[in-house]
Amino acid sequence: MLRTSLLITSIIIAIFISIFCFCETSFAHKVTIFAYVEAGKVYTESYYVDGTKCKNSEVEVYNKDGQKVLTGKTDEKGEFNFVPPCEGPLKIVLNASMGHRAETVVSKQDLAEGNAAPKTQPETRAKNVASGRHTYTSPEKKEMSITRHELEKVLNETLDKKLHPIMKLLAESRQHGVSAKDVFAGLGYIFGIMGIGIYLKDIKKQGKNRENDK
Amino acid sequence: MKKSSIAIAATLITILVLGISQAFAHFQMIIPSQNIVTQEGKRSVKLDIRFTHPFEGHMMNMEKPDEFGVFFRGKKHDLRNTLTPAKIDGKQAWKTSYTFKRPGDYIFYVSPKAYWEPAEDKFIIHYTKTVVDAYGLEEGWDEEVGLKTEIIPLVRPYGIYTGQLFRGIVKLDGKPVPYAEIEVEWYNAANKYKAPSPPYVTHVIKADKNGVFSFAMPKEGWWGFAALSDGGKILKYKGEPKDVELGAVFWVYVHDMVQK
Repeated sequence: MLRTSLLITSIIIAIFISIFCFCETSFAHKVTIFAYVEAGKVYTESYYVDGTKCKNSEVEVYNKDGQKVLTGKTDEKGEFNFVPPCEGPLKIVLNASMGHRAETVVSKQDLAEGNAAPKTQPETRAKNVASGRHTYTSPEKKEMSITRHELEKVLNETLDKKLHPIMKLLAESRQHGVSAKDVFAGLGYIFGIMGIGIYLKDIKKQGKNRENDK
Repeated sequence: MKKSSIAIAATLITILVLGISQAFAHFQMIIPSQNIVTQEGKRSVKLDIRFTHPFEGHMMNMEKPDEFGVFFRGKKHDLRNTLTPAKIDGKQAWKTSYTFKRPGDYIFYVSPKAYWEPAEDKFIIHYTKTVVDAYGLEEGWDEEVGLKTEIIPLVRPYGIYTGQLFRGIVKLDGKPVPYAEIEVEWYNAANKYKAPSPPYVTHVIKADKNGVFSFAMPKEGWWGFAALSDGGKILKYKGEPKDVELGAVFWVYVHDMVQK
């Protein structure tokens, strides 16, 4: 009797908590990353529809072949700015928390019009792009083994190709509000709380058993 | 015979008088070519600025306005110099275009020069606004520009479906206008619709004691709201002080639901 009522209580609590969590994510609605080019620099702003900024969110930049050329994080204002590491078009992807994702494209023309792609150190940049590395390598580190670079490049390309349909699917599902991640997160909460409930109950039961043993 | 002709004449005169009084719902217009701008679509709008009767389409001359600009992120940006003259039905109107650089809501506003309307023996000044949203950031549409008189929307003024309710608050000198009278008109852009009788041209609603009004828009297209206040005899026509009608005009676009 006690066991069933405890189970029911824990389930109800779990449901309430999961509903609360879902509400929090669905309030935020759609997320957008907006990019513009000015004086050779790409400026991005990431925000939810109501004006809330996407802080500390990961931003990834891909070149026209789908290779990741840069990653960064948005600041307190939801902004992330960078010097374009290669020619356009650049795909800029925002991965905000709770499964919110958005992307935008800066076209080759936009980059050219914004007086982008400064001509300083073209060689270093070109190498960074080819390596598919996410951050700029300092000149000293350029001397890494070529085989490894090549391997990395091939791996990245293959992974991007294989993952593309999945990413697309995920992006589409995310735009409908609740993503697969959210559903799993919710289920996780439910199981977790159920677990705690059962655990607590077990402790009680064990205590009772001990009392009985005495 | 005589009696009937008198009756006909009387009827005609009545119709004429009624017709005249109904026909004069002036509206200052600012109509953008789109009111929701996306990164994927065209990043600029063309703006059509004219003084007209939106349903019937009669144009009036509009002088270069005292003020024209866009209110964005809490600041007015003057765009008066971008205006180029346009002639519509032989009458003076204005046009311009604007490219959106940053995300957010842009409130376009105009403070026209006073228009002398001899038929009503008064001046008309319609302070007019419309909102364009850019790049998915829905912030700023409910801000006050700070015009002499203005309508502040209480409903996000874009992404509105046919039949939806529009609500707003009428302000004059920054204060709500109790029981303000608001004229509402649909922009008969293609001139394909006619009114079954004169009262269907201009709808008349009144605000409540807090200056708040509401109106459900029954058709796709642009809807204009003109809240009228008496500005007092602040201007002179041929040396004689005349009444000034102050209008707070707001334009809203309404879209039909779209099938997949």
